[in-house]
Amino acid sequence: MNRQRGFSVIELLVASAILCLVSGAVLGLLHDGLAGTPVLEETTDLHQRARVVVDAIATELRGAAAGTPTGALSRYFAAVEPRRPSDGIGVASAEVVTIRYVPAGGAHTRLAQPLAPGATTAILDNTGCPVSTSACGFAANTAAVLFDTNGNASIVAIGATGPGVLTISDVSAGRTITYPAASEIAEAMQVTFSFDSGTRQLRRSEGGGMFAVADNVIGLTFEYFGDDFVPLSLAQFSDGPFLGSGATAFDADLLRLVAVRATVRLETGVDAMRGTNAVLFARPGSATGGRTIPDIVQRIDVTLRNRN
Amino acid sequence: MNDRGFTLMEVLVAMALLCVAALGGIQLVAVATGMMSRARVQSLATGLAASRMEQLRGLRFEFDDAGLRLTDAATDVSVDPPAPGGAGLAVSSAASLEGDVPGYVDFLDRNGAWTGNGTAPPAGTAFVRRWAVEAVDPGGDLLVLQVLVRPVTSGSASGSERVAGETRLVTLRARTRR
Repeated sequence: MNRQRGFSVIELLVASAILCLVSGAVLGLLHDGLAGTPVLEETTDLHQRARVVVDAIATELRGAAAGTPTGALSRYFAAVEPRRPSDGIGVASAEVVTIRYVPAGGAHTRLAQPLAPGATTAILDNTGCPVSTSACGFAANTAAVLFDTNGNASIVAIGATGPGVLTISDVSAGRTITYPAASEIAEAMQVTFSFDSGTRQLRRSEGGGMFAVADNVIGLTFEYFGDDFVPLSLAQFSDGPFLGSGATAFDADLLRLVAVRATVRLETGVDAMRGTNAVLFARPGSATGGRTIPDIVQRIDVTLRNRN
Repeated sequence: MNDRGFTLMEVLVAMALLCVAALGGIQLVAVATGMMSRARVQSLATGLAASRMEQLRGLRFEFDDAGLRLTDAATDVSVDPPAPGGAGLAVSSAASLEGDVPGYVDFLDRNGAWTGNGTAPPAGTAFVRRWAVEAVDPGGDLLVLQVLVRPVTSGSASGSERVAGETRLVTLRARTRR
C-alpha cells in the first residue's frame, strides 16, 4: 500500500510545462481557424447571392416575349425595354429592364367589340376558348396585356370576370386609343429589375409589389444586342422613331433585340472584410491585414427565345 | 483501492490524443475553405459555358422567307462582345475541344472577364473556353453544339481527360423558319 504517492515535484513541473507548450500551440491554431469562420460564412453568402441574382434575371429573360399562339409578343410591341413601366417615352437606362410575357398556359383571346379609351368593360370573343370557362380562363386580380397590330399595347388589371366579359382598369397611364375588335388580350406578367444605388439592392417589381432580390449589389448594367450581335446603344432606344401610343409607346429599335447581357457586381456587406485595392473592391473597406473577400462580377448572357 | 493518480506516461499519451483530435478539427476548416473556392471555380465555369452557349444560340441559323438556308459563318464570338470576322456556326474541326483552334477558343480571368483569344493564353488567364460545332445531317440543318470550360491552374489544359472543376455543355440546335 505504499504506491499511493502521486507525482514528484519534478514530474509535476515537467508535465505542466509540456501541457503549456502543447495547449499554447493548439490554441494558436484553433484561434486562426475560428477567426476564419466568419470569412467562410460571408464568402458562402456572397456566392449564394451571386447565384440567386443570375437565376432571377436569366429565368425571366429566357421567358421574355413568350406570347399567344399567334406569335411572340415582340412581333407586336416591345416585350423587353430598358425602362420602368412608369418612365416616359424615350427614357432608357442601363440599370433597368422591364420584361413582359404571357405565362405558360395563360388565358388568351380577342376582343369581340372595340374598346374605347376609359372603357372598363371588355367584351370577349369566346371562339376557341376552353368550354369549361366563362371568361376564357381569365381570373380576377390578375394582369393582362391588350395589344393590336399597330404597336399599341396596354397592361390592364382584371377586376372581375363574367360570362365573356372582363371588368378592367389600366395599370399605369390611361389608354389613349380605341382598341379595334379582334385586338388580342392575354394574361401577362410584367417584371422589372432595377438597381437602387442608395440601398445597394437589386430589386424586382411585379404588379404593384417590389422586393429586393439581393443585398450588397454595387453595380448592375444591361447591354443589348441585335442580329449578328451588333451592340445596340441606349441612345438608339431613345431617339425614335416611336411606335405605339400612350405610356407604352416605344422606340422601334427595341424590335431588333436578339440578346441581352447583364453584368452584376456584388460585394460582402462586412466593411472589415473588404480591403482597399480598387481592382478587387469597388467600395474600399476597413480591413487591416487578415483575410478579405473580393467583389464578385457576374455576367449573364441570354439570347431571347421568343422572337417570332 | 486504486487511487494512485496518473503516471507521466499516461498524461503524455492523453495529451497526444488531445492534439490529434484538435488538429483534425482544424483540418476540417482548411478542407472547407478549399471546397469553397472549388465551388466558386465550378460555378463560374458553368456560367461561362452557359454564356457562350447562349451566344451560339443567338447566331443566325434559319430558313428565310424563300426557304433558303441562312447560316451565320462570319460572326466572331471569341472576342467580347462578338464582332464580324470569325467562324460563327461554321462546322469546327474535331480537335477544337482538345486543343486551341483559333475562332473556337478564348481565355478568361479569375472573374470571368475576357482576356484574349488565339492560341496563347495571355497573362492572368484562369479559364480556357473552347467550343465545337458539328453537323448531324448532310444538309447541315441540325447542329451539335458543345462548350468546354476548364480552369488552367495546372497548365494541363489540353487533352480529352477530364479536369477537376471543368464544365462541359452539349445541346442541339435545329434550323428554324424565322
